[in-house]
Amino acid sequence: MTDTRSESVPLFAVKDVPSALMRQTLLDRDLVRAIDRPVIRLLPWLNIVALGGRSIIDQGRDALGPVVAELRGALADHRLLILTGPGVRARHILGVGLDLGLPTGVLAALAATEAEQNGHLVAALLAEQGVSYLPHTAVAHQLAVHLAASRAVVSNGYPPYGLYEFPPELGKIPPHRSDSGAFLLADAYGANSTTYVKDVDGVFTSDPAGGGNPELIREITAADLLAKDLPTLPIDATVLKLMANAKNVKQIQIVNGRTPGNITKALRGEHVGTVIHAG
Amino acid sequence: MTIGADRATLESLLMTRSLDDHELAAASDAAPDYPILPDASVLKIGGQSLMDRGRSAVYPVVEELARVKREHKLLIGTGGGTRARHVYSVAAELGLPTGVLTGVGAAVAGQNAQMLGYLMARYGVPVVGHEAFSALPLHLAESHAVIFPGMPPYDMWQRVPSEGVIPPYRTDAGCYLVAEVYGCRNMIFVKDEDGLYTANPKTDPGATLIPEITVDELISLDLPDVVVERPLLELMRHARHVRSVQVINGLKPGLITRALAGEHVGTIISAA
Repeated sequence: MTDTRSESVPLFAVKDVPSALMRQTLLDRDLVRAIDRPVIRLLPWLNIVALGGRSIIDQGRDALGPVVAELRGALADHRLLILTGPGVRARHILGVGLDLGLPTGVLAALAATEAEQNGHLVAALLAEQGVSYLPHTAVAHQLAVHLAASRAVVSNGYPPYGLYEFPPELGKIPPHRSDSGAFLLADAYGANSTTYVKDVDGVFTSDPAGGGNPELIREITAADLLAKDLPTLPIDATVLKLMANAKNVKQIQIVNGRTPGNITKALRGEHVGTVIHAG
Repeated sequence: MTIGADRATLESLLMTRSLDDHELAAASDAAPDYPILPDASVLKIGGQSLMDRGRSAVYPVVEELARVKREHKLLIGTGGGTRARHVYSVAAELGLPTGVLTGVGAAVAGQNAQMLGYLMARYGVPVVGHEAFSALPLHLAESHAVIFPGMPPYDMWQRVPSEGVIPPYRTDAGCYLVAEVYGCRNMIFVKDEDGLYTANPKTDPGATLIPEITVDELISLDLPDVVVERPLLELMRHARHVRSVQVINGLKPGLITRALAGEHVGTIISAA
């Protein structure tokens, strides 16, 4: 299959399609900057609610029942993408997987399965209201039509990184988990609001479970919060790093889902927990 | 500490701490590393640099791959190229987000994987999407090679760059992460230049080849244009298995074979 004509073909015989980015590596900063435009909000009416795995779903009926009831009540006023975290079963499989010597990418795929199962549980509780679980591909490509048919859908908070998860700076715990997945999706869709439902009132100056005199931080920028280097945050630290580059999501709120009414208020734009600003 | 005590500590940290906890990270760092496909090598076949050139560039590469797979197990990833650049350009001009660009860009690497797949079909080499990666060991055992689309499956969840909307993690990162997660022996980027240059050799006649460099040195050089995706360098820094990669010229016959044999025939970029 030797090509006898190859000698006559000029070396740069790339079959180009003309474009502003043609014939370069996409790695030249000046060329890439030339096409910078404001990013449109694809779904400006979308509200993303991320339910904590350990903090809400693992707590069972006591915690999840009222949260689901509140979400049900919010359907009339808001269109929701409800994303679930994995909880304690992810901790278990991370433990087994680490012991077996499996790499971060495999651990990420395994932990994501637990978040997906939690999504199925939450969707089942809201099925009567027309809410279903959607897999990643449908969330990425058919979210608009599903939310035209229903006021809310449920999916897996984990991003579909799986085997392609980044090796973390230290150790092997996957760095892009359900909080990060919810944030990336919120920014890609240009969502109206991003609410993280946990079992604490927000971000404290120290772990509220650890004694001492922790104070609630009502409002802070992502950069300032990162700089505090707190030992425990109610949200994945990766989210704070992602916020620096976000195009449309300028703030997120962490609220206590164990306090009745908080989710409803947060969806109305009220400040009931910790608001973290992008910059 | 015994293995049992290590495990008990790790499990207790996993159950009681945040997953961002530093002690937990350190304990997970001490866990063993089990390479999944230690005998395989990942080759990335460039999109613009090779596939878009057509048969003058691609046929010789196909023949060389068919030859070397007798001795080596190959995971062959594909790049995007000029159609990816076109669709990124159109989509960015429309104000669409990085996530949408990632999805449409991935299709281009998929097309290149299909084309390469048809050319390598006679050698028994299948194309495998990432959703079917669980069959990789069988394909490698049977035919010693598979072709996969190089774009990572980040889709709407792609990380957003600090400037603009071009997906920062594209086919270089995708192929590299496949090599890293499977604990592969080699990661070789097959492009159309002899390696990394001090500037873009296509546009700057003063550009000189850098045969060997560390990630830190490369980042501190802050070159305006680099032969591999910049975020790849950060990924390499934290890698556990694939601590160096080689960029070689696929237009020069024999270099793929020599690079697989461990020879230094292009630019070697190492994590430290």
